[in-house]
Amino acid sequence: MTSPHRLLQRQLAKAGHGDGRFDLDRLLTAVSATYEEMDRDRRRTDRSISLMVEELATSNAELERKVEARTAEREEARRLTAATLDNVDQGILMIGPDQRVTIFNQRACGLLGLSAEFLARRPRYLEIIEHHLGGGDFEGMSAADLGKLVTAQAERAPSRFEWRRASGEVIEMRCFPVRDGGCVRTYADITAQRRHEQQLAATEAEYRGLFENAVTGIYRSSPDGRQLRANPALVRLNGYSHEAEMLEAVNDIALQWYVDPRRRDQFTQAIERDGRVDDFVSEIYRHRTRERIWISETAWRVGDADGGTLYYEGTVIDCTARMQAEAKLAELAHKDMLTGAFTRAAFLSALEEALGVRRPLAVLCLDLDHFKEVNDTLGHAAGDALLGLTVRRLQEVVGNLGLLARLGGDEFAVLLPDVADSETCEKLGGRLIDEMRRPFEIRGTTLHIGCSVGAVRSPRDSDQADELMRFADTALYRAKAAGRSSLRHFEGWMAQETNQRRSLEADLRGAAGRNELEVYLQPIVEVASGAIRGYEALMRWRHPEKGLLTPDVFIPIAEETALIVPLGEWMLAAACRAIAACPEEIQISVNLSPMQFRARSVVEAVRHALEVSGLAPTRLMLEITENVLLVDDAYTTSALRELRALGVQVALDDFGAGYSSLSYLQKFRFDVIKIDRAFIASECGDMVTPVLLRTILNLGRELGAAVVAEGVETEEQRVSLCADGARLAQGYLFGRPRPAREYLSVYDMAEATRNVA
Amino acid sequence: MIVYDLAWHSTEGWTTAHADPASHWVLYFASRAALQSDASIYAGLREKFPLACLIGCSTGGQICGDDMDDETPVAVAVKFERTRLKFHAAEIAAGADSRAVGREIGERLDAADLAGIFLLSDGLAVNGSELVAGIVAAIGSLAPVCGGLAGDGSQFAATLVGADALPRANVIAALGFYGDKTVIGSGSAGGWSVFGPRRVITKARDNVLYELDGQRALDLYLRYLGPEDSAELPGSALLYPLRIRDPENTAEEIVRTVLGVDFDEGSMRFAGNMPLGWSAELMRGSRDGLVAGAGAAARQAIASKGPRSGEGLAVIISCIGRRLLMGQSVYEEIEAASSMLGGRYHKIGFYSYGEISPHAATGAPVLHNQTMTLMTLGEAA
Repeated sequence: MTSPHRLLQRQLAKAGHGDGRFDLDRLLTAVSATYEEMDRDRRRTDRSISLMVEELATSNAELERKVEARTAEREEARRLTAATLDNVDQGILMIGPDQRVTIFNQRACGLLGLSAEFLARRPRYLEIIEHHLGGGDFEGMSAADLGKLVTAQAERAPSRFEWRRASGEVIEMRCFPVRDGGCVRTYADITAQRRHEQQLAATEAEYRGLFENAVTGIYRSSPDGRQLRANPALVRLNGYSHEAEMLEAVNDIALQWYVDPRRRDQFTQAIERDGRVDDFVSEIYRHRTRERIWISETAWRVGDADGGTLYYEGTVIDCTARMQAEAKLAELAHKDMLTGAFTRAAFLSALEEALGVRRPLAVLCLDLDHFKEVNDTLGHAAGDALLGLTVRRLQEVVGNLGLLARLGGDEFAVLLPDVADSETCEKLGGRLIDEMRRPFEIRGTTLHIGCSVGAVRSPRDSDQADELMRFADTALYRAKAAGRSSLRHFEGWMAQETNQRRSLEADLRGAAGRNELEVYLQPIVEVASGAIRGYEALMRWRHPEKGLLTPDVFIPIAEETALIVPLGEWMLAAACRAIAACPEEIQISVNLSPMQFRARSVVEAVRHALEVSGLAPTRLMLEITENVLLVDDAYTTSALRELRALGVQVALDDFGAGYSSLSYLQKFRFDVIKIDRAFIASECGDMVTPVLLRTILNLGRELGAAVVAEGVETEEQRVSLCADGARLAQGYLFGRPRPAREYLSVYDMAEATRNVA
Repeated sequence: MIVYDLAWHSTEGWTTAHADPASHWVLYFASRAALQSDASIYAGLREKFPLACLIGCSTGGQICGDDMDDETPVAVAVKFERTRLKFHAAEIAAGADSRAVGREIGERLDAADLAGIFLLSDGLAVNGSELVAGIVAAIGSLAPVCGGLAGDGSQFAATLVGADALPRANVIAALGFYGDKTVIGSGSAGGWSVFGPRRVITKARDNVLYELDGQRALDLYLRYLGPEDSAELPGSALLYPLRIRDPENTAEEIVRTVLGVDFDEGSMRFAGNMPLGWSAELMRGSRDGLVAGAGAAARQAIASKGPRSGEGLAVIISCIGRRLLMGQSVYEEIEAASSMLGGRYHKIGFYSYGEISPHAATGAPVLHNQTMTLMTLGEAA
């Protein structure tokens, strides 16, 4: 028998008495109990199993119900997701861990050029890439990049990638790994964005180019005075080589940039008030070197959304050169360009200033004698050179004692501060005159010029600048009148006289208009018979207050003020008119002033007078003195010739009285020579004058010019002239100057008589 | 260390002639009936070993050698050479705060050189898991705490514990071992398998379970036990322990045994807490599974505990539920454990209402149910 079951062995052992016998009842009980245990075990097991099956069935049913509910929920969620996916702007692909497309939206179809059917059948991601490759999408991409893109594994795939599709759009793909090993890829069309970016970059490059390359400095600064940006031009202006250097260094613009620290406040106030400043000129320190230069800023304020100031931006130009030029101009305004002496403006300004502080002072006005001759004979260049030399000499004399200015033309003035006595004026003035008396060498020519000086003192004569100048001028006039190369102090009466002159001048201006001018005539007769050959026209002025004024009173004034020209014209016209009615053989003789020639209107005036009066040109004689010929040679000679061509006669007046009368005969062919009265009246025992007279008479005869002896007052003289062979004469003996009417009425009667007869 | 096996004769009492009367510790187990009826079980030991600390309790069966017995008391005497002992007894009334009692025990026995604690507790008045938790709160979880809840066969009427005195109810006896030469090993294993659906504890209070998945838990048990086994509740409920798990920490599995049933309330009292919301699964045992578990527990107990010199004591405390399942074949698990332990160990033990041992995975002392636990005790050279 095989060995009994171990339990049975134990039961046997327990039931045994140890001596081979055993308690059968006990054994059977134990064995029976064992069978019952087994039965019970089996029942329990069966029961457990069937109950478990039941419970599982119930569980299953419950699970199924839950699954159904979950499925419905998932379906709803799926529907919601699909709706969402189809409404987003990006294309979305969800790739499962098996690298197949699980979810996609319509936009993905569009962006990737794939049909919905293609994506719906869950292609592998690689298939999509192959599709694109086939369509030419990744042409030109490097193998490495392509490898990266083709990588289907989300972990190794780039999280962001963009490429240009064959159709032209730029697509951006982003990849997000998902926990289960798959990934979500989103696609966006960034064509517009890229283009926009390119445009921005181009624009930025454009502006950057402008910014970097501008010659003008461009900056941005904070309201509290720090430099935020500076372009290369500005950086260089400040002596740096890099923007960073400069920005670091400049943190307090008020103190570090502007020479005057208040300038910064002025800048910010202006810019805050007006929003901008233009041409804000300031002196600044060239930052690195502390050199001072001038700049012009144009700047504007940039504000933020709340209206506060973000920063200032502006441009900077170095205008040092401009400032220097302006300074120079200002200086020039004070200095006469030709000579280097001070200008009239500077002089007056200095005078005003000195008077303002009540300093005693003297003013010397001087002008050059015979300067005009130099200009006329040697030309303006010589004249300018002369002026320059003049100033040098004068400046040597004046030195530090005062201020030398050229008032204009050949007029100069010297301001002598703290000089209040006449002796000092005399001494200085005398030295000036002496200096000017020394000859000048100009262009190989030796010139003798000379000057006249008028002196005036403050507060003695006046404390007003303009008055002082007028008085100095008056004194100067007196000095000239006194014979030149002299100094005259201003005296009170001079003013009076000057005032009188001024007043006369004013009156004279309107005299012609007020018919205050009259034509007086003095006859020119045949010496032998006394027959009147013609008349010299002489101007008289019937002043309303002063009465009848002779030319010596008002002609000089007229000549100084150029009134002589209209007066001369009036005279021509009046004289021609007066004589026109006379018999043909009567001639009228009119004096011409050098001024009329200088004004260059003489030919026209004569022509006009002849035309209006209807007088035959041959009946008109124009008398000119040497002075005329001093002026503007070329014009004068041609004018005279033109007048002659008209038929008019030209006479040389006061022959012999001037400097070089003979040479004038060389210059022009005169019709008449009028011998100065000096040669007519000779004293007893004077042997020379008669000789001269006879010589002149001869001269006239030889030249073929009629000669008129002037100033015949006595019968004796007449007889003498006759004896010498003089033909024509003029003087008190034959008739004093009288109103034209008085002489000419004779012809009316004669005419009347003729008419009657 | 020397261990003396003591034999009991119904007429002569304990055979102790070979044992050293100066032994330090005597451990004994007997049925409740025997302890209540025969005072000489304790008295005899007391007389023979005047210096020793006498600890024992009532059981659901005694283990001796590689077999078990319901009637015959078992005992061992131990003489230590390098181990110091400290004893503490505690009272516990039903419904008392088990955790506080445990903490007090722990505090009394705690010391720097504490090598481990062995304790026997009343099996019906105590919330075993709270008791152990209290001890661990006081001494930490490093030192092993081994022992068990006294049993009362399948009556569940009263349990007795001898705390160096006559065995009584509502007593806890705790013995601390001290010294760096004391080597204590432990092992625990179940062998039960879950079956059926996972349920959730939907109504419970401390160690009283009311409902699973909203249904009365008692009804579930009645269904599974069938009329035959239902008649033997609460004992028969030992056939179907519950595995409960924290849903937040599913690695931690705890097996719970029914200790009592209240038909009026419709509740079931378990040997440890039944936390609300935890999952609960019915378990069933197979003979083979339990036997394998016993072997595994023994293997754990002797593994890697360092060299010992001299003899060793193995205290086997297994669950009464296993006994109930295996019936007469229960010897198989004792045999399995015993053969694994080998001849070096003197073996003693009992079938309890709850086993205390360090958790096999975490090492922290816990209350086990339906488990075979072992404590090996020895001294290093």
